[in-house]
Amino acid sequence: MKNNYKFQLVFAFIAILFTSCIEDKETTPYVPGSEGFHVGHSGAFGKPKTSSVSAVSMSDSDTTFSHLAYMSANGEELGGNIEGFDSNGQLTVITTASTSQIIVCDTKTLEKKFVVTDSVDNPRYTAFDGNRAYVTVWGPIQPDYSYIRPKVLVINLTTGELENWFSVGSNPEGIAIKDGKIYVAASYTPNVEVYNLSDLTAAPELITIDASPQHFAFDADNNLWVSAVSAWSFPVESENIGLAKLNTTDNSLETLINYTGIGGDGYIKASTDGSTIFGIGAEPWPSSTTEVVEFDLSGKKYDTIISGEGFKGVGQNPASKDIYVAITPDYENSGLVKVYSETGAEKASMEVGLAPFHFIFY
Amino acid sequence: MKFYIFMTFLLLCFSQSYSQTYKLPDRELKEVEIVSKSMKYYSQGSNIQTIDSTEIQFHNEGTLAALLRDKASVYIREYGAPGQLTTISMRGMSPTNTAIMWNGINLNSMTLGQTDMSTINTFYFDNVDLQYGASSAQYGTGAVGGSIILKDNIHWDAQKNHFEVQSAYGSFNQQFYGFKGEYGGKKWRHKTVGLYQKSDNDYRFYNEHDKEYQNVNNADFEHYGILHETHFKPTENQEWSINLWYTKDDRSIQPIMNENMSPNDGFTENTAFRGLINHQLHTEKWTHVSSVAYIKDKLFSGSDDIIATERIQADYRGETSLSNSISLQTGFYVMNIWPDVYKYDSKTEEFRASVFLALRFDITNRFTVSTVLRQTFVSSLTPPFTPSLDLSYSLLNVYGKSLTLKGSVGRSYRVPTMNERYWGENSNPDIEPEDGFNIDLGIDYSQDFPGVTLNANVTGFYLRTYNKILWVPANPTYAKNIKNTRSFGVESNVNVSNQNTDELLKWKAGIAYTFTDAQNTDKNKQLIYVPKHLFKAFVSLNYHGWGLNVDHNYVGKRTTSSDFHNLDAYHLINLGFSKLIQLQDNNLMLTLKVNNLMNETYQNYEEYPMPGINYMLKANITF
Repeated sequence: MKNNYKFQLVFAFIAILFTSCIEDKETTPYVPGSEGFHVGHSGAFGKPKTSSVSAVSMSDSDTTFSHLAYMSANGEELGGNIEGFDSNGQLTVITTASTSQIIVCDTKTLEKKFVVTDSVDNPRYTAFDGNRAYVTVWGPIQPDYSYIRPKVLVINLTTGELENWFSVGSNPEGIAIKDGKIYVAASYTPNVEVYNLSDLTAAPELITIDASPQHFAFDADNNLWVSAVSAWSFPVESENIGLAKLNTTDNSLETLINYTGIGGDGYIKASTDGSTIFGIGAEPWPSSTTEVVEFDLSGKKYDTIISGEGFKGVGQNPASKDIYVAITPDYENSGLVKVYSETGAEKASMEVGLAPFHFIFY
Repeated sequence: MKFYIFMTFLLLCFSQSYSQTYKLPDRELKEVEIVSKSMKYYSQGSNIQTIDSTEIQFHNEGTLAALLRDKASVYIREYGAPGQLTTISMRGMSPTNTAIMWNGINLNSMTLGQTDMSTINTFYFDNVDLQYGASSAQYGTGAVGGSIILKDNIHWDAQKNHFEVQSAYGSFNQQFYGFKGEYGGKKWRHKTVGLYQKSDNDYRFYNEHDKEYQNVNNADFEHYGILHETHFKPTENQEWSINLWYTKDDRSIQPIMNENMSPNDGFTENTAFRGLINHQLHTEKWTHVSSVAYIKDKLFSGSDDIIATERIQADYRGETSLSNSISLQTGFYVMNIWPDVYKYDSKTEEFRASVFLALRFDITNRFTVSTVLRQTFVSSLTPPFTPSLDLSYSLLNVYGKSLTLKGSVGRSYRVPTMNERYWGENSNPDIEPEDGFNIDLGIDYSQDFPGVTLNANVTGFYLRTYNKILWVPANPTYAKNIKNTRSFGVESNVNVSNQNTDELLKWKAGIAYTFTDAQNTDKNKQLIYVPKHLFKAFVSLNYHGWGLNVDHNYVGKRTTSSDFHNLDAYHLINLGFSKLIQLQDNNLMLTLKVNNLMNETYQNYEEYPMPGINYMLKANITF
């Protein structure tokens, strides 16, 4: 009896050990809804399998959440870390950093249409003009971690072919198109470069903003704004940092809403009605609190509307007007999306993939 | 300036300590041995594994990482091919939570807080001790998940000089050339070790992204190193030594799998120099050990972005016996660090000091208790006071049978690395040290059967850390105390052998199983790259100079930073044949190794494929 008792103890111990294995987690298959949104996760550097697209789909009263929506839709992983995640309403362009790819997929279903790899080295962000996508590319990295041969690629969205390309200034980041002109944020320079759509080889005009330009946003009146930031390798006077309005008639800097807290990413996103622009920033060091600020474009000021830790991206749901914030607490664990009302009251929170960054609503 | 002040302080302490009137018990002293007992003596309740020179000999053309992967209950994280960045996880803790000690010097980088274990070759050393669990009281900062103590011995009682030449050649153009010599007389004795190692590492693997077989690109490396020691005994009770160790590692940086065909040709040059002057003095009452060390590390990656540190460290230990059953060791160290890191403020400097006291009481022949108390001081930081308590009780010790109950409890800490404090615009010099504690409880059973010796031990552990430091994805990034973790598990070993018999066929076999459950306390997920299950088994046979070794390693699944992607479990089987040939007074040992016999496809770090089956032929001549 005593031996039997010992045997049971040993057996129980072994059973506990071997039932406590690390399980492969399953995710819900992606089914597009009548409305919903996608979140692009950049993942951990050099680990493309940590990069993914999460999706929330709403149909009638059903809401489904798929953590690996792109993989579910295409039966394969992205194969690289997401950098840019832009949509024209019908097509989404995903650029991946660690494996240089430009992936064109259906905005709603996420089904892959084309993958462009020819001449693609470290692609960044996309602007659309009719049937063409214009994608900024940093170029191949060098042993000293600099990049050479930066350019913009022109991709035909019907055929998926690379139609054209033109050289631009260093580390081109954001890109925007307005009235036949292409605006390129040559980051780590003080210039926004302006190219003519009808003659891509012509030398660009330069709009000097005395800060590193990062991303563009249009307001309701189709005015063009650009985030102006400081970086370790390109330090800038604090009085030149914030959100800059460009005069696209004479290609000059029109005004600046000075916001010294804006992060080096220069993340900005226009509200759904274009009346304001949201930006991601942080309280002055050594505070670690990040924030979503709302720029009052006419009043030339800003207000902090949401504060918290690890804010990396923001978007506004056009249907509900709720504000969605992408949160990355660290590089080792899942990120979060928190949903706030227009006034900044927290409404919901959901766990998503690693390092969420960009939102696309449909 | 601080340094000179503390050197003065050091000398004062020497003179004061030397004048004390305590006495070591006679049973602890040998006439020609001038050693203070290592901290192992005050850690008798902890789980300590010793890898002896025989086991090291078999692995001595490889790195410490390869040795520990095969022989210890630890997980080795390799960024791909041998020679690439390799770190260690003990009891689920991160690489910064393992202290790696050589002659009282913590080899962990002052900037990164960890050691690249591919840069430490086992050919330099004679023994390796692994102390599992927190041992911050014994070894200071970073000894949270465990400590590794590297030893290179001098044999004063050797009858003649001893020299060793070794060469090895293997798959992917792996090459090894080494020389080791211990020579001298009764007053002067020297030891010199030099080695060169390289590999092209262009092995074949299946690229799951490109869906084809490819050769690994840009993963070659070269290692050069020389270690020299000169020991001088002017009298029977005094010994001076100088230890110099220089290593240089040039390596290309292996790209992740999906960039294999378009690598960016990244490379690093890593140099390290450790110089140490050591003095040991045995008086009637005390054994004194004091040393001054200079350490310089430099990492160069092809740009002007240099990451280097220099440090000077002085330490003193004095040991005596308060009675026949009570031993006391006390001491301190002081260290000043001068970094040259492109991302630090140019005036950055850091001072560290530590005082400790260790006491062991052999209450009876069966029951011993020891305690170690340590307090560390760091520029503008206050690491916690760190006590530990170890107990050992012999439940049974008769007729070739022994059963010992062991336990230990200790507080642990890790001083933030210099990168965590001073890196970039958002430097955070006031970041708190990591804090925690560890509890061990184990039994050790040995029995001599006719012709067979059995040893089995089981240790359960529980480990908590608070204020865990992680890098926050801000722009620019910075380090912050944001997590608490806990880890618990079991380490077990069973070894049987007939080594103590007169049989012509000598054999040894063993199995080891480790279970580790390690989590952030706010998340129900195993910590990334920490296997829950590790299983190892080995068989070793020797007959008339012929030898056969088989090692089997099982590494369970490991989580990654994606909740939906785990690294698969794998089995590795390594095989070795050896033949010892006597050539008059010289010995030639030929060894053929077949690694990864089953050609298993596996990864120890996501996106870095590991080598399939590969071979190595080694010749070692001793004279």
